[in-house]
Amino acid sequence: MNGPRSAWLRRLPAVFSGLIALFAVYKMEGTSAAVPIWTAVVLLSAFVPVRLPDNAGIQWLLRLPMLGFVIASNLWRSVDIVNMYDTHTMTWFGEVCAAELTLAYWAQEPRTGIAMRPLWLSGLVLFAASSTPDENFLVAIAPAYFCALLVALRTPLRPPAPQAKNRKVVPWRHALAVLCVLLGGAGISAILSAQKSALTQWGMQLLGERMPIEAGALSFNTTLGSTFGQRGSLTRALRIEGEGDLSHLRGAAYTNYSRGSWGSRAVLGEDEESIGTELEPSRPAPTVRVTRLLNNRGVVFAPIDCAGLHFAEPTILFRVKTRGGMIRARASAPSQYDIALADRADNQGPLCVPPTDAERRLLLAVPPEIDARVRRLGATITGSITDPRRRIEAIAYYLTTHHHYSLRIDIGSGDPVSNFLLQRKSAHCEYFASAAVILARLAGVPSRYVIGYSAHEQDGPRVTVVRQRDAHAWAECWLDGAGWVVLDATPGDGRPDALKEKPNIFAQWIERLQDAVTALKLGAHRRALLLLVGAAAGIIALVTLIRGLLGLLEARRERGRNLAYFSGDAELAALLRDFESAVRRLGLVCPRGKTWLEFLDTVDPAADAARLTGQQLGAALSFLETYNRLRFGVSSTERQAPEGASGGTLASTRVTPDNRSLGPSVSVAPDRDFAAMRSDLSRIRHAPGSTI
Amino acid sequence: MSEENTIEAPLAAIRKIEHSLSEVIRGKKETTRLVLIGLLSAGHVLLEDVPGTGKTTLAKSLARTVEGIFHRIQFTPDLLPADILGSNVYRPVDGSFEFRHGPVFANVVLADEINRTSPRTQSALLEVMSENHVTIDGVERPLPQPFFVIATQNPIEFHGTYPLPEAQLDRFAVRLTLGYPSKEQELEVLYSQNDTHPFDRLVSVATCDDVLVLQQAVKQVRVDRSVAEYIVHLVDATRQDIRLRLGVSPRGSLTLYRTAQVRAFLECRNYVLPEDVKALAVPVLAHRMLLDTKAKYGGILPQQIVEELLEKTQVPR
Repeated sequence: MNGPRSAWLRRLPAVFSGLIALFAVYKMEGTSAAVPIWTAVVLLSAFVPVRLPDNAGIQWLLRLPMLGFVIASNLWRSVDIVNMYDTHTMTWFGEVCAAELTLAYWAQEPRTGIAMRPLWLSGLVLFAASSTPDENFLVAIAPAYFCALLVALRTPLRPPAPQAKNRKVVPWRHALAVLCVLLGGAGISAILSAQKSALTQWGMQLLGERMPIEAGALSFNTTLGSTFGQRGSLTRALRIEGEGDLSHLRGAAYTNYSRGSWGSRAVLGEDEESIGTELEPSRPAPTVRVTRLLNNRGVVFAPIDCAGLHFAEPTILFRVKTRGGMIRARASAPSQYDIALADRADNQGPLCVPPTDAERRLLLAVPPEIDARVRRLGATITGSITDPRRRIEAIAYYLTTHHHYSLRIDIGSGDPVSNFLLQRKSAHCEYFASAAVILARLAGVPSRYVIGYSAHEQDGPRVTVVRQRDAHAWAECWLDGAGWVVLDATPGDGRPDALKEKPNIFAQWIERLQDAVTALKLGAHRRALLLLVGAAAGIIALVTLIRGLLGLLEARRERGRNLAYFSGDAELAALLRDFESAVRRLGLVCPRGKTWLEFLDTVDPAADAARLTGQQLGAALSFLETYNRLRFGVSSTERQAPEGASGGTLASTRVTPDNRSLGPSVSVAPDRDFAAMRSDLSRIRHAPGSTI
Repeated sequence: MSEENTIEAPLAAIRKIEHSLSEVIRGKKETTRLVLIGLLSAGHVLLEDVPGTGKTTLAKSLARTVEGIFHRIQFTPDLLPADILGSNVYRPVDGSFEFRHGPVFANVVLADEINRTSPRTQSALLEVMSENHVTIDGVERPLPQPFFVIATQNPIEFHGTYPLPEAQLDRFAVRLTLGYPSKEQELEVLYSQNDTHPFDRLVSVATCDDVLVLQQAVKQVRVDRSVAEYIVHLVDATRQDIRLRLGVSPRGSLTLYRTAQVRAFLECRNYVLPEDVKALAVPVLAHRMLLDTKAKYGGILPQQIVEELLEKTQVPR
């Protein structure tokens, strides 16, 4: 089966698999407008037989703008750093592969077999899309893709050996093969579906993406669970240069406790207010410089009593009202900010916002689910102490001496904090902090639950590193006259600084490398880096543009060289161009490696009646016969000789005068021949029933 | 115009040769035409195929239809160069040396199963095929004209064979395969050989002079510069292809040029078309190329490379 229609049918399964892969990418969250455009272009390639030349310069000339469009359309999208599943890398990767896939469909097809490049590129695109949480991916999209791929691969890569014709076809083997493929596909789909989370985690680790629990070890909706997050994770969150009391770097604070959870759902963007680009200290204060290595949803970690905050690059800060005045910045990691430390005990700083009366009531509210025995316990702990500061000190003392630390706790039924206080003696810092808040409230001290980091690990002189394992929870209490103070009631063995193990030597070297890269990205080097990257991109673009232009010039010169095959006969060349354009309008395009006679030999007017009638084919063949004779049989000077002059190629006296034995007369009559060719052209253009 | 200058008679003779050969070798019109092209281009032909497809029969049939001296050389592993070329033999009567001509001194030489003899013996044909003379003991002895070698060989995978050196392959104008006939053609073969072999009914239909005249006449066929450039581009592409260790030599481009002229001539044209070049590219060029190891063991055939290059190279229009 030959001809354009069969080529289109052979191409269709490969195009279909690519379209499915592109659709899968389109379904990913946050893809740009580029993907629908690539889809349309790929679909077009199935119907338009034109292909890009094998010229790397021209292909790069298209590739760079396509990649630039992907980059621009992705940059234009606002990056939602609150997004739980940060699949930004995969989206980028998918869109870049989609652009490459689009180019692959327009590349020259191999003479035999199928083009493999679009198939493996579509596989890469599908792989990028596999990070989508959409259930339809495993259920519908991936199976459809593999079916299309199998059909596309059905065409043999090489023409079968002649002996294959004598081989007996066994239908049951074919059926068995299809059955095995279907069962295998179903099995793989089931495995992928069952192990989806594990595969996603592995994949994200491979890409250096942070798992949600890594990216945000601090949850906005903290629920007292049986374990404490990624305790033990060595992933670095902050790097601090300078000295100061950084044992309690607060992130967010929670007021409401209900059924084992702190805080209510915060609608970021609605519950926050912009507070400018920095929190300036009222007077000069010692500072430490904090480098954020994880996004952590933009949360700015600082001690409650810090005197001010200042970002190295101006960035807008937001105060989240429902999180105890949590500060967020719209700057993604890595970024740097300075914390102005408190230089006296009573310097409460801009983070210590006094509670309003309404807030005070909330900060004193003890939820009804707290067991009544806890109230009695609270009364026992504080006893006759009247000073609020001494009350909370007594609470801290009680908790640290009467309970032990454990990473795991069996919550049981009922209120977890009540169970912890009344029955369970060992738990992690979230329980200690929660219990401290409840007991402080029972003692009449307004308190809130706080999550953050405890910075303690020295990593060189005046450098402290904070890892995910240093996540911590504690309580903050409002003391009239003193402001907000920290109440950390976790026993010593449960504090983060109790974990002393360092990462191994290889991990340390990797961290050094990461620090070097981070330093390059930040600070004064950022602009220079951008300039450098911009200059490099500009040079690459310029070189590619020049190469592309040179390639186009070369291609044009090559075409000109082809036209130079003509011995300077412009009229003959014009006739050929007219012929080619007339036939092209009928939908017939002759490949560069074929002559027109060879190409028309494959055209069957009976099959392609809508495009070419028998009369038109006859006219085309007649045109070509005359054309070939003039083009190849007679030199240009002979063509220009007076009509009737004999000439031609066999000028030897050994030739008989009439040359009957050699076929057509070599006498030259260009006017008559040109008239005949024009007449043939007219018949091609205006044949009855033609589409022109 | 004197009769000896006409080419009408030789052309008619060639048509008769073609017809006679088609009586013996059924359904292989294109192959027999290529053999004739090899003959008229003053080249030589290599027939390569599995046993029993009619290679020797075709060669013998061609030799019989041309009225000239025909010798057959059956190449065996113990054959020596002197057995092919001839040697000086000592005459005790007068103490002189007499040159005994070898079987190569003929108009048509059938070198049967040429790859079964040692490379040393194969190399003896190098001078013969390219320069049409034999040099023995410093004395140059011309070969009769026309001189045409038609060699046969089995595919290299069979046991007991020696591959022809590249230099020798390059001296064959065309390499052809016959292939198995179709079922209908094979049936015809069975019935046609029921009583006698069609070969036995062959008679000479052309003379050596006919062949010589035609060999000169084909040189008059016009080759436009664009077609010649096309040949050169094609050959150059074989030299640039990374899958080939050795591309086609200038001898190859010259052979393609000449055979294209012959093809045009046989189709009653006095000018060469690009179609002529394309039709002859594979038989003329494929056996002159040396594949790279990776391509060779990757299953790529030289014919595929030639076909690919034909598709990629812009045809003159």
